[in-house]
Amino acid sequence: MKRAGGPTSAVDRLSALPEELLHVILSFLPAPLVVQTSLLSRRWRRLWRSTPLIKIDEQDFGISTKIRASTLEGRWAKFEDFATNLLLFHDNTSALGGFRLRCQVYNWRHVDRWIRRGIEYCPSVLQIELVGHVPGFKLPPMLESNFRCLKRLRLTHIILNSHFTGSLCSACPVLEDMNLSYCEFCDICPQGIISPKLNKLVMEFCSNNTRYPLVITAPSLTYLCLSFGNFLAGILLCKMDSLVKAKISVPEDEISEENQRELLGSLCNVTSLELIGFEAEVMLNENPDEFRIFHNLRTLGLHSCFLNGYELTDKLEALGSFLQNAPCLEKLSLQYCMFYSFSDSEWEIERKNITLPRHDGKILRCQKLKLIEVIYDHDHDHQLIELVWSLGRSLPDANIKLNKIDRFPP
Amino acid sequence: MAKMQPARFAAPAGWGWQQAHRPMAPSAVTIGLDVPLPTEPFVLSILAAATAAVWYPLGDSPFPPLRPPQAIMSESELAVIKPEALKTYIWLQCFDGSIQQVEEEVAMFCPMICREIMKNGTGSSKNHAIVLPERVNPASLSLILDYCRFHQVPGRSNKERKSFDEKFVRIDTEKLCKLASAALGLQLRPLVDLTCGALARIIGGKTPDEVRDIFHLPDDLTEEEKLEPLKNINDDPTIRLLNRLYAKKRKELQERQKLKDVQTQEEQKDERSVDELLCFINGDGDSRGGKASKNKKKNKRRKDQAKNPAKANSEPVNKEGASCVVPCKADSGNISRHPCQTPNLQDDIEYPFDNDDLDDGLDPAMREEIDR
Repeated sequence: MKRAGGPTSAVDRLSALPEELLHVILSFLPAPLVVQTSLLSRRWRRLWRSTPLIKIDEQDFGISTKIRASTLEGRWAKFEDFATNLLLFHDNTSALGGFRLRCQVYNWRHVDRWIRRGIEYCPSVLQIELVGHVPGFKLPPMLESNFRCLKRLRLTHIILNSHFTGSLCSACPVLEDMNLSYCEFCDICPQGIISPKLNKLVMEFCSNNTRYPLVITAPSLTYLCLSFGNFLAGILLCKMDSLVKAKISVPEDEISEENQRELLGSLCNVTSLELIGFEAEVMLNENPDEFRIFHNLRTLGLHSCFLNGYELTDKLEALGSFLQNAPCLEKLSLQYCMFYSFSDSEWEIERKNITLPRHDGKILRCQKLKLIEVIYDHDHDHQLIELVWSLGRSLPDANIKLNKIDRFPP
Repeated sequence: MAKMQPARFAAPAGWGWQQAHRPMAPSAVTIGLDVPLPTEPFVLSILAAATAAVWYPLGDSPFPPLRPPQAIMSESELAVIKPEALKTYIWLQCFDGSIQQVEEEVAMFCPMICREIMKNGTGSSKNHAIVLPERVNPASLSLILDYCRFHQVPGRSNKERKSFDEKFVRIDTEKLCKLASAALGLQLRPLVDLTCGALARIIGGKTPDEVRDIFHLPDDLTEEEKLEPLKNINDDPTIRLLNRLYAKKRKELQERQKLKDVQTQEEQKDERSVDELLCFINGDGDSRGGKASKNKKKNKRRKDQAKNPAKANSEPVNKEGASCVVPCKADSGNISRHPCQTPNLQDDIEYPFDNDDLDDGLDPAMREEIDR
């Protein structure tokens, strides 16, 4: 091959890089390109086979959920050939750095085969993302021999049966990070997530169809995020002693009120808490003995809370009773709370006279609370002023900061 | 407070101090104090003067845990009492012998330097400079220090950091490679990812020829190797065994195909409808039973037919078909490359016909290249 006019002393710096760096470079490239690097030079011929990260993504083959069935069939055939061989030809079979799969379940057997093969390679990071309409896909059985190195697990649109949850503890001894999206706990029997070393757990849009409460026991857990999801059968947190940060979002009617209170109660060790969608009934504790004290709570963020029909003073009282149990609280953030707001382009809002209550009730005891941040997007009926006024009266030591941020930018 | 003297003053309780065996310039010293910050100005000046000596705690470990001064003093006090001469510096030595000094907080951003200071206590003086690994050359080192200097400041927004990073990697590929190598040597993982990501962006979207041009890669693959990049793995004995097995099966298939070629198109259509019927009877997705092998046989033949016209189009594929290890007709040619790494491939051997369409898996990789 003719080299066009380059200096004869041009040194190949790229291939001289250590293999580790070349593997990092390959990890940024899509899988077909990674295989093509075998054509670059002798140094690169077998490099792609020992790379620690295997990424299989149907998007690299032009497959998406939007193409027609005829094109899908042709492209899937190519994709399947490639993926199967990519997995077959991989060198490092005993400790893979990471295995990532993202595809639709166009052919169940193919996808299952890839997942089994990927798991055989004992990955440290396993990410399976099924897209499109997934007719209920279960993982192959978890064996300790395959999952002994697994540190991070991320599953999307997978059905988790009792076998999965039952063997999670024994099969994955070093699991630190688990992220479940749109997963479903099936199998009508009590299920739970038990993991001794789990540090971070995120469950988004999962649902519990087991008719029993889902029990999460993770003594080393430091971060928990429960985001939407159907837990009408209940969800319980046990032994959350190490929990530092939690973010719980409760859609309407998906978690019972009692369950919400229980959840709150089990989070009493956290330092930073973010609650989305909680209502006044849950926060209000009439019986002060029942409610646990949040000893370490420093930052509390409420998003879209207190939106039901009570009077503002009642809502603030509920908030106050919650704050009383958080003696170390330093920062409170209220985002789009306390009143519904909507852009008034279609509605003609009648301005009313403000009557700011003068006898306000008690002053909330929260000495360390210095900063209250209120984020809103639209203000009607001067509800914002009422809110700020009432907050100011009940928490006189705190600074209140107002911020108008549009939730749905036009 | 401008001039520092080596202090002769009472050490805080619990700490002994010994002056290092060599007198040191005030600017090349590290602080290892762990005392609550007093507020009287004269005590502050003593603390400032303490930078002129090295403190060792009483007890076994001769070196105090180092902390950048911000951890000990509050920001405002630091701003007041920290003129240039007070800044602590670390000495670094490249493999070629050149020594330079760097502000401590900048240098501590690199884990490797951090560890060297903590474990071995080097870096505190010109003669005890930290020796950097060979792959860190002075040019890369200065770039890395710029990077550290920018990022170690805590108050920067994500946007600022991102735009800095983008500008930072707009250098020529040679420098980029050296920088990546140096970042690895200093174990600065964010910079490794940044530089490798930039290199990947350069490689991605280009033909192999272009990439070879940019990076001056030697073009040392023979023409044959370029067309069949994965041939060499046939050395494995298990592969040879599989090859024999598949050769037999392929022969059988070819015989059947010869018969099929005589049949008309409608015949194929009929077959497909039977296939659909079978699928329907077995249920969707329930193709793992024993009767499935029949389905697969038919699937395989169907796929072969589908692939034949495609293959006839690209000439190089036929050429490769000719030069492959097991000579065969130009259709579903290269079956012979199935490495059997673990006995877990049993499930694949159970359904041998399916594996025949695996052979074409290599072709997509090559076809991709050829298509370009």
